[in-house]
Order: sequence, then C-alpha cells, then structure tokens
Amino acid sequence: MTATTAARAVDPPDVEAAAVAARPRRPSGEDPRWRRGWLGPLLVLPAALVFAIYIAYPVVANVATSLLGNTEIDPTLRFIGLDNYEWMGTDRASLLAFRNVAVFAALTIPVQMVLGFLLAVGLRGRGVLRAAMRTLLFLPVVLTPVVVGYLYADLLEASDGPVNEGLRAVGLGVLAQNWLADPALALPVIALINVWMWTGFSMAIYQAALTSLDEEVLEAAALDGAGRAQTLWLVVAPMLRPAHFSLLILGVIGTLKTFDLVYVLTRGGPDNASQVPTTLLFQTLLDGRDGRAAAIGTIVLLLALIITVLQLRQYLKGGRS
Amino acid sequence: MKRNCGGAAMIVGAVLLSGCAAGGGSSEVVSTEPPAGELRYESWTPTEETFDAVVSAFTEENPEVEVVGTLSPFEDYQTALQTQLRSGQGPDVFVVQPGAMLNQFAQYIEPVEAYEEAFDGAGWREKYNAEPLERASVGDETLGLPVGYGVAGFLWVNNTLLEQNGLTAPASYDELVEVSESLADAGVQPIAFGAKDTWQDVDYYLALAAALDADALYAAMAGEGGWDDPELVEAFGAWQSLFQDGVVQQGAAGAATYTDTYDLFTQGKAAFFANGSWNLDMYRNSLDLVERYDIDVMRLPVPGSDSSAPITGDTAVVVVNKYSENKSAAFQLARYMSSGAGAQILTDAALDFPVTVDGPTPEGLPESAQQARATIEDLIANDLAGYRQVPSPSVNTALGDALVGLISSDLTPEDAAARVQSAAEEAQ
Amino acid sequence: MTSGRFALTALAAITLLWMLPLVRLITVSLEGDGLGNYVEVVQSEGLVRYLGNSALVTAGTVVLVLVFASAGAFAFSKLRFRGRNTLYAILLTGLMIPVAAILVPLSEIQKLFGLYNTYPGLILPYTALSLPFALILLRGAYDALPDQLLEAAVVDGAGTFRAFVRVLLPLTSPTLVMVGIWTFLNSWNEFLLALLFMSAPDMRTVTVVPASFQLAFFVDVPKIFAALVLIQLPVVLLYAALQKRFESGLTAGAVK
Repeated sequence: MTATTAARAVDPPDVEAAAVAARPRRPSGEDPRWRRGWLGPLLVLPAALVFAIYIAYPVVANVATSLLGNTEIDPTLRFIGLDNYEWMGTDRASLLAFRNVAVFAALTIPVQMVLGFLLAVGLRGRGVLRAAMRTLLFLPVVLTPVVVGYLYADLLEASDGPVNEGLRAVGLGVLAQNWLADPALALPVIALINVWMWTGFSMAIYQAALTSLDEEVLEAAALDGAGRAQTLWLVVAPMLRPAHFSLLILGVIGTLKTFDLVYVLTRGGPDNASQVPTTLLFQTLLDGRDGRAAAIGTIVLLLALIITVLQLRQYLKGGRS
Repeated sequence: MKRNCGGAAMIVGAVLLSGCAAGGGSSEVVSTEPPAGELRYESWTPTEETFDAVVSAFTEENPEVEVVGTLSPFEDYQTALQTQLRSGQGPDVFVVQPGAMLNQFAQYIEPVEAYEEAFDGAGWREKYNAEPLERASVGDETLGLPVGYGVAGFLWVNNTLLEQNGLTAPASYDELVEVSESLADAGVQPIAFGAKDTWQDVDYYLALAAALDADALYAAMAGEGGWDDPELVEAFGAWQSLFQDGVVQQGAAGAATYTDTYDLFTQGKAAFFANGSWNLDMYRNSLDLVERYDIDVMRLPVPGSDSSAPITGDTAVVVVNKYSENKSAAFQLARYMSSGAGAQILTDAALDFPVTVDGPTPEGLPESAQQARATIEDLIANDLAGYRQVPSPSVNTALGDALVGLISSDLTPEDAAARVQSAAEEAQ
Repeated sequence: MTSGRFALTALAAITLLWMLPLVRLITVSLEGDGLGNYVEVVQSEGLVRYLGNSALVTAGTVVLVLVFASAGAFAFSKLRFRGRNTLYAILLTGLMIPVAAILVPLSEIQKLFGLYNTYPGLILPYTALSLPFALILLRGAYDALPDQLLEAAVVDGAGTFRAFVRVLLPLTSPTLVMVGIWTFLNSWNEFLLALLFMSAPDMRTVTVVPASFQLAFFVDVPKIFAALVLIQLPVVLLYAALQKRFESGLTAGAVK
C-alpha cells in the first residue's frame, strides 16, 4: 500500500464507502455532464478485459474444476461434488500445509512490522548515512526469489556452508544444524529468510508514513515529559494506523501467495515440513490430480477474501486489528 | 482435451490419422518417409553437448529435418512437460522414466509398435533385451523405446582411500560400521549419501527390501501386496539404521547428490558413494579428479545380517507425443537414439549399458573406469532383483516422504509402512 | 525525533549484518577466475539474450499497466457510471490470487490464443496480475487531485478525455513512477509463469536461467553465482538510479 493512502488517517485504501463519505457532497443531486457518458466505461474497458480473461475466467474455471476428480489410473475428470474438499480436510499433507501457512504468517508478519517500524524510526531524517542505510535495507526487496534461494541454500549448507563453518570456527559447532533439511527447522528458517527479504518494505512504508506526521504533536509529547519509548508507543504508533493496516492486509495476502521462496529452497519438504498451500497445489497438479489442486486454489482464495473483509471491518470499526 | 482435427499437418506424401479424439489406433497407416520438418525434443538428459552431437549426426543423415532440444534439470523438466502436454503444446519427442512417470504420461504417448513394425518388420522386438523393453511398456503395449540401461542400489568404493587408512572393503554390515568408525577418526566420510534426493532414498530402500524379501516388495509395488508386510517394515528399520550407525556422512538428510555428495566422493573426501551406474559419467565430467583413484563398486551390506543387497535396474524411455504433428519423424529420432547410431553417441557420453542385444559399448572408455564398469556388468548379470521405479506416483511420493521422515523426525518403521500402505490403498 | 549516535551505530551494525549474504554473493562469484567468471557466463550461455527477453517482457508489461491503470483509475475516481463501485471491488480481488491457483486454466488460455513461447504470452498475464495494485495506487493519486482542476479544464472547452490526458495525468507522475517501478520488479522477478510458458531455449527469461546454468556449469559454484549477480544487476541498478524518485513518490503522496 502506498503512503498516499496509508498516511491519511481518514481514508483507508480501498473502501468505497469511506471514500465516498469523505468526499464533499454536491449541492445538487445530479452529476455534471462531463462525469457521465461512455468515456468512463471505455477507459476501464482495457483493464477490465485483461482482468476478465486472465483472472476472472481462470478463477471461475478453477472453482468448476474443483468439483471434478480423477484417479491415478484413469486421468479423466469426472464430477465428484465436494470430495476434493473432503480430501483437503483429512489428508496429512494438506492439513500440514494450512497449518504451516498460519505459522509462517505468525512468524513473519509481526516481526517484519515491528522491525520495519523500529528501523524507520531509527533511520528517520536527513543525512547521507541514514539514506544509505535505508537504501541498503530495502535492497533485498528487489531481489528475485530464485537468486535468494540459491544464495541461502549455499549459505545454509549443512556440511560446509559458511553459517555452519562459522559456528564451528567459534566453537559453537554443536549448534550447526541441517537448516533446510530438518523438519523442525525448515519452516522457521524459510520464515527468517522471508523476514530478511521483506522487512525493508515495511520500513519504507512506515518511513513514508512518518514523514507526514505532525512534528508539533511529537514536540508537544516530548514537552509533556514523555520519554522516547513512551512517545513511540503511545503517540506515534497509533497515528500510523493506516500503515499498520495496509501492512497487515498485504502481509496476510502475501503469505497466502508465497510460492517462489519455498519452492526454490525446499520444494515443501522434507516430508511436507515446509509445505504451504501453493506448493502443495503445485505438487498435486504435477501428480495429475487437477480437481484437488483446483480445490486448494479455491480455498486459498476464499481465505484471502474472508480475512481481508474481516480486517477491513475491524479497521473501520476503529478497533485494533 | 481434444485436438483440433483441422490442424493436423500432412507429412510428406503420407496420410496420418493423428489423434483427433481417441488417439492413434492400430488402423493407422504409418509413414516411412525420411523425417522432415521441425521436431521438438525435451528431456533432462543427456547434456546439451551430447544432444547436440546426436542431433548433428541425425540431421547429417536426414537433412530435411530440424531438431530443437530443450534440456532442463529433472524436476523443472517434469513441471514444464506437465503443463505443456496438458494444453497441447508438448514436444514431439520426450523422455520419461518407467513406472510412475510412464503411467502418468501414458495418455499423451503414441505407442511405438505400429511404427517399429513399419520400419523394422514384425520381428523388431528381437533386437532388444527383454527387460528394458518391458519397462518401456504398459500392459502389453510398448509405449516407447528404451535408452540407456542403468542400475542402482549399490555403493561406489574408493579403494585407494581405504588403503591409505589401512582398511579394506567391508564384506558385511558390521564390518562396514567398523570401517566407518576408523574412517571417521581419520577425518574421512564413510558413505556420501544425498538423502535429500528422495529418488536416492527409494533406490536404497528398494535394495534393502529386495534383500529381505523381494517377492513381498514387488507384490507391494504391483499393488497386490501390502507395504506393511513384516519384511518390508523390517526394511524400513534397516534403512533407518543406516543413518544411525554412523555409516553415512553427517548431515546426509540435507545433502543433495548433485553436487554435494558427488563432490565429496570425486574429491576424495568420502570412501563410499551412494549413486547408480549412471555415475560412470564422472569419468567424463570429472576425469581429472577421479582417475588417480582405484575405484570399484560393491553391493550394499544389509543391516542386521551378513548378506548384501541386490540391485534394481531401469532405462529411460524415449516416447513420441500422441498429439505431435510430425509423429513419423519423431519416431525416427527416438529410434535413432534407442537402437540407431545415436545410441552409440549417447553411450559414449554416459558410459552406460546397452538395451539392445548387440548394443553399443562405450568407445574410449578411460582405463580407470573399466574396473567399476566390469563389476557393474557382473552385478547386472547375477544380482538383479527387478525393476527400479515405483509404478504408482502417489505411492512413490509417499514412500519418498516416509523415508525422509524416518531419518529426520521420529517416524517409526511401522508408521512409515502404514503411510505408504494407505497411499497405495487410496491410489486404487 | 531522530536517533542519537549510539542508536545510529547500532543501526549501522545491523545494516552491515543484513548485507552480509549479498556480500558473499559477490565474493563467491569472483572466486577462482575473478571477473573471468562473468565473461564466461556472458559468452557461453547467451545471458544477454535472456536479459533481453526479460527486458522486453517487463517493458511491455510496464507500458500496458501504466496505460490501462491510469485510464481505469481516472475513470473510477473522477467519472461516474453504473456498476463503478462493484467493478472496482471485483478488480481489487485480483490482489489475492495466487498464481499457482490459476495455472491450468491459464495454460489453456495460452494455448487457445497460441501464445506459448511468445512475448505477449507473458506480458498479458503479468499485466493482469499487476493491475489491481496499480489501480489502488493510481486511484489514490487521482482522488487526491481536486475535482475543480478537471472542472476548470472542461469549462475551458477541453473534452473530458483531453483534460484527463493534458491536465490530470501529468500530475500523477510520482505515482506513475512508483507503479512503474513496482510493476517492473514484479515482472522481472516472476518465476512460475516464466518457467511454464516460456520454455523455448531462446525465449527464456532471466529468472528461470539459474536452473539451466546448473546443468551447464555442473560443479562450478562461482560461475553460477556470477550468473545470479548478472541476473539481479538490472533491477538493482534501476532501483539505485530511481531510488530518490521512488522515495519521493512515496512521500509526495503522503504530504498531500
């Protein structure tokens, strides 16, 4: 989300109602001529068309496919109703995948937000040094997951990768692990790499939001005797609610969509320990079970929709998400 | 998915009934004209260099045809193949592994029998060894042509390294454990095992299971027996003990064969290497590293016994896309690679084993490779338990996952067997 | 409220630590042959060709997204027509689509239009996937522009469309830059669709190349890393060059 919308205390990003409410009402009930007419539909046509072909249709087709099924022996798809969803609710890999994505969200979103916030606060202001640090910290955001995957696979290599070699060199060899191959560690490690990649983004959003803060309010708080930490927590943080909200929504959606990083690092292994719904979908698709893959896709989409709607409602009510 | 009948192309002078709705049937008329037009080949093997050599030889004989090859790492290849085939954009010629993969893609493959008969007459089967041809078939129908026979489930041994440490190749599992201890003291890894690759895990599990009860194993693979057979459960336990008794290198669960453990062995840091007969190509790719060592192969000692495990074998299968618009040409390329001059080029590069009766032996085999190759030939003649690839894709996945679970989490052999069994039952 | 010297030093240390993996990327790529690794990678594997493919696809996507999203955002923000709000909401749901979920229907569309291994075959899906976010950003920009501007231009005799293009559009340029950069990033770094829909060897984009490099440079990690650095270079350079604009794009909107 952009700071354009994030920094506005009143105008949340994509909610029609609030936006319309905020705009001044016209005295007369009628829209002027230049607002009406066919120009509007014409201008949205290209976007709508591309969307319809490449997103709307596939989503609908996906839902339809989720009601079909096949077997290993006979690849023809037949109507089987909700059986695929039943499979999703009972299959070990599927349950693990959804549990993992929740864990992944819990491990990455709060950490990225808090770290991003602190970094943005700490690096606030002018100065070559600060600007340089901000630039560097944002750099991982622009990297392609394939490169990050190769890089970290090499770094975390169990037998002679730098991380383990480093630990051994300082006598902490006992801490050297099979970072990506240990079922207990695979998911947290990928989460850590994700944090490394995306904290810069949170930082940038908060930074932009901070620049719009009213200095006077902050000075007043300082005059009132509020300490640094108190000011941060009680004054600044609440003023950045739009930014928090944007990051939360983006974070959840982003987590549900995570594919590249997991695929490149572990492909969902070992033994489904780092499986997430999208990688499971992919694997199921490769196994030829289209109906099941489509069901997973539908559920992921539904989850994203529901969570977004819930978060929106919370936000509009004025309570904390 | 239906093929657009109007789009079927005409081959020079021949009429082909290409797969309009039901796909090729036995009433086709096969064209034996020389290949022409463009052919797309996709696979994970051989290397680009080798394939270019095959193509230039093929096009020298057949100037009217143009071959475009795409080679990718195995998993990426499978991924791309799946989506391409499913939307009718598949290559004309591609390669599959027997078993699960062949079954999975059978719906896209044009059986070769009619073509072989047209080109080589009714007795075309005679030129092939029985086993590879069987692996290229589903039921009674031969779907593709075998290329490059290979075996797995044994160990590579660096005798030089053993001698340097005053050791000899172990003859039993207990000896293997002792040898591994001594090696560890000397800072040398015992068996370099890429256990991150589930196909490796399956290979060695199959070897152990075949050692304990080959009948039960192959019954289970065929879907007629249970994976929870006591002998097979014991095999899961034997697999697990490999990783608990120190005979395998540290961190094996996270090591990949290419190139983690491959490097360990070729650089002389591990005395044994878990890999199949295709590893002979290290004498092409890493000759300067390995030629100084006295390298041989040996069967895997079985934990809890004095015996050694047999090996399992398989080929790759070159197939023609059922929906190709240039099937005759595609077939001829496949044939060239399987039993024609292309087979020699491939064997020279891979140093593997023939699928035909008068099959090619690799030319210019480095001297240091000859000992290992000869021993492997012995193994093929005497200790072959059966085929290598698990037929059912979901059982294959479940088996791989279970084997990984056995060595990296607290999964028990019984539970592992139960998981594989339920996958097998569900696949029915 | 800026941080004191102690905090700054701590932050500098954090930044340094954060950058270590990237430092390693570079040092390993220079092992052995040094810059020779880079030379060989460029020469032997036609990396230039792949970079070109990525550039073409990305450029096409950015252009389409900027044009379509500007037009759409303007219409949603300033114009009125039936179903406007519903359509906007529907378009925004595109944000939540995991690409993996629509793979199979997508591949059938590709086949239908004959777009496998073509540039439009990637540009069009990428555009569709980038539109929702672009629409949000640009709509915010247009919302921030007072209606009076548009009214004034119309009153002066310009048609609505003219007013849009001549008056309002230029005023959104900071946001346009941001959208452009973000779209560039997402297209350049996209992996899954590129892997599946551009498999022809000379059409491949740069994100799928590392896998094939592993086949070619069998054991040679430094060369693979050199390739990785080269793959990232365009994006990093773009970011470095436009970073000020990027930041000012973010803050400009905020100040309004």
